[in-house]
Amino acid sequence: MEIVKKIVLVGHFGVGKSSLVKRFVHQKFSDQYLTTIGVKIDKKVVDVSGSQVKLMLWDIAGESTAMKIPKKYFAGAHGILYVFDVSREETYANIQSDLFEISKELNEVPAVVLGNKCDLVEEEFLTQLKGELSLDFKPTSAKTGDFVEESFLYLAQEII
Amino acid sequence: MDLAEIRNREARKSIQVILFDETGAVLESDDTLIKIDTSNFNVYRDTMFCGMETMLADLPYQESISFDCVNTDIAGKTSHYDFLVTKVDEETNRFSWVIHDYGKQYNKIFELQQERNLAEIKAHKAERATLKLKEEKEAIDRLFQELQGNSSSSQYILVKSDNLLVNIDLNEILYFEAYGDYIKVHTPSKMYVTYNTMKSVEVSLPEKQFFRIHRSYIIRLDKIKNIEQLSVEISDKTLPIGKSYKAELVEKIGQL
Repeated sequence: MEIVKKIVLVGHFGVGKSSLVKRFVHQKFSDQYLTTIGVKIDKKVVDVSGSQVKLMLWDIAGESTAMKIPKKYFAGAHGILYVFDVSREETYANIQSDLFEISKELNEVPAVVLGNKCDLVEEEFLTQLKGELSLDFKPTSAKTGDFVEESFLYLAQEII
Repeated sequence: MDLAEIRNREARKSIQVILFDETGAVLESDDTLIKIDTSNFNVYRDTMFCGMETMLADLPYQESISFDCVNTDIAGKTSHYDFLVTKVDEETNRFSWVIHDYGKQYNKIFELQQERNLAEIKAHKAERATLKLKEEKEAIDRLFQELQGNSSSSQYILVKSDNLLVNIDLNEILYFEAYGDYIKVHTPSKMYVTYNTMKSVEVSLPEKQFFRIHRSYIIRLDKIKNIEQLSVEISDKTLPIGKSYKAELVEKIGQL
């Protein structure tokens, strides 16, 4: 029997949520920014420890704070990907309160934080940022593909 | 043909109704927008409703849940849809699923949203650039004052954090914390991370004001709230005192 899991991607607009999904599902990337309205749902079947798992990816339109996300989008979610842009401070300035807000809706649901667009900053900056945020985020780049597949699969494994 | 008939005929063009049961099996579909193969289509397996079995089962009779502006694929047709799911039969847990195809309308919203988001991203970028320039100017001004002899260089420490040179007033510093190859500089308002070693920071600080209490901590002595057997309290943090540093710390405090 097929296993189906719902993953919700949240974060500010322009951080690259849709680009991460596009890279993961279609192995493609475009520099052009196209905003998401409402929610875009994609799916991909992956192999997790020998089981075929269909991931339903809910790419929610970016908001400046998690409080603005309609709560019903989280209904039945099995995992969360919180995405921010390492090159734009306003996308991670309130990350702790955003994560707290999401955890209130989704208690016990695994969440992975992705610092996207890491191709735009130096390695040293990422180390500093991890210290400042006191958060172990995964640096990704939808542009180069760095750690994209790994991050989705890591979350899938956490869910199963 | 009366007005109601004309209206209903037009509405039917953009609305589809599907009836499904608690397992997600499709019982009926009017196929107005999308052709559904009822023998091989399951709402909980093939659509965005995956994972929502419990939520829908818990819906009270005749209550609905709606999802607006959902860009998804239904049986091979992708568009922007609005969905309305209603529990229509309490005993058998049957649901109606009304699908509105608003692809064209949402494309217009997209243009506005795109423009708004791009404008906001640009505004933030300009704000950041202004702030960076301002901070750099302040740091340069302070350095200039020090070079002119108008200020004591021992009152500030220059750190590189976030690709910025920041001049931190020593009076503001609570403590330094080792962080791998980096140092965290804790002040009441902000924490800075800079590439440096504890040894190098220690020798650059005024001896009377700062003291190394642990392999990983250098504290500002006048910020101590309490000292216990092997810890000090600074601000709301409790920091460990290394055994080898304890005696010297006590002696130092006695001299203050």
